[in-house]
Amino acid sequence: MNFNRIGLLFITGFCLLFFSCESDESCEQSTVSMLNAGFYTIVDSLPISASIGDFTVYGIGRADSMIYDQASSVGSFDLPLSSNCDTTGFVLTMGTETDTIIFLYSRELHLLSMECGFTTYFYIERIDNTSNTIDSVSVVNEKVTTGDDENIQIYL
Amino acid sequence: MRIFRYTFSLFMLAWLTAGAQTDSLDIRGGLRFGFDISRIAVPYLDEGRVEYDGSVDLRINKNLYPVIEVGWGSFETKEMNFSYRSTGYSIRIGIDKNYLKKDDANEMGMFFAGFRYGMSFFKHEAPDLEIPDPYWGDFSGAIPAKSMNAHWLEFTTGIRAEIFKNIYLGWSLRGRLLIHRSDDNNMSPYFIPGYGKVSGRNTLGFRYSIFYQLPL
Repeated sequence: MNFNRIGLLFITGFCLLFFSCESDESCEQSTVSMLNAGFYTIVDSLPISASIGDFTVYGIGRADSMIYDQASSVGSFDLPLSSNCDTTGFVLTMGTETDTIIFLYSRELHLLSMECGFTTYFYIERIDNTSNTIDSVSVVNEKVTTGDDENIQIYL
Repeated sequence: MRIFRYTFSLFMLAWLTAGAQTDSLDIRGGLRFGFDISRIAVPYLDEGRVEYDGSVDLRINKNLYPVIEVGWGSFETKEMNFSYRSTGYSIRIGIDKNYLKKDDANEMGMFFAGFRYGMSFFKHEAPDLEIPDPYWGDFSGAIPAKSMNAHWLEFTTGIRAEIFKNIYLGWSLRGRLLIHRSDDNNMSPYFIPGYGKVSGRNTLGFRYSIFYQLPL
């Protein structure tokens, strides 16, 4: 048997066979990490979801740009933390009262995918707040990602 | 993935039975060096990707060929908001078994199947990246190069034919099953030299090589 001749046929016939699975997919997920907060009140020592009739919030230093501007019946809301520093503060106006919340956190850069690029994950380390309307703030999930999980509960 | 595992255990069985063979050991002229010429086409088919790959195999009996393959690979891409680069080496150690009936025991043309244990040592980085933030302002940064490693099982089949004296050409198909890669909280390795791009737990590959048999 002359394998060489048979082999050569096989080989030349098989010149280029590539498994090219290049994906030109676009990003199909949220790429922005937002801190998710919810309002609660204590009724009979049980936390009950609450909502604010007239809610305004802006970032400290960005009084020119409202994140929520006199929004009605807000039970939960998203806050953008800054990727450029380890502290971000917000001014919340609930009805006629105003409170300030300051978040201290650490940051981690995270590649979501080749299509979606990078986002920042935040790990909440401390929360300082004034208490005009707010009774207390508790952290239920310290890791702030692009997901919808609630991070903090604001008790009124 | 299940198919990979089954096929792999079939291979292992084949090796156990192959071990019982009692061919006399004659490795004269059994050393062969290979260079993967299909890698030349890689930068044209996949922009930003460069690879070099070579092999050494040794006939230890009529049908068994232990083999070592080494490679260097690099992949670089510029996406909309970031760039990514991964560069490093791979080494794959394994054995091929010939299934072709031969008239001459020293003939090294073959139809073979075999397996490899693959390892890669590489560095990856994101030299520049941007995170758009319409409220606080965009973030610009970088992730410096980090040393990573990966391990995989690879099984292969193909043919090899002597086209001139001591010169062989051959192709092989590769199925690779990733068993470990370094963790990195910032970004999981996207390109592993020797293994390819990571999507899921396995990849398929094709190699087309030229070989030189040491005339002894």
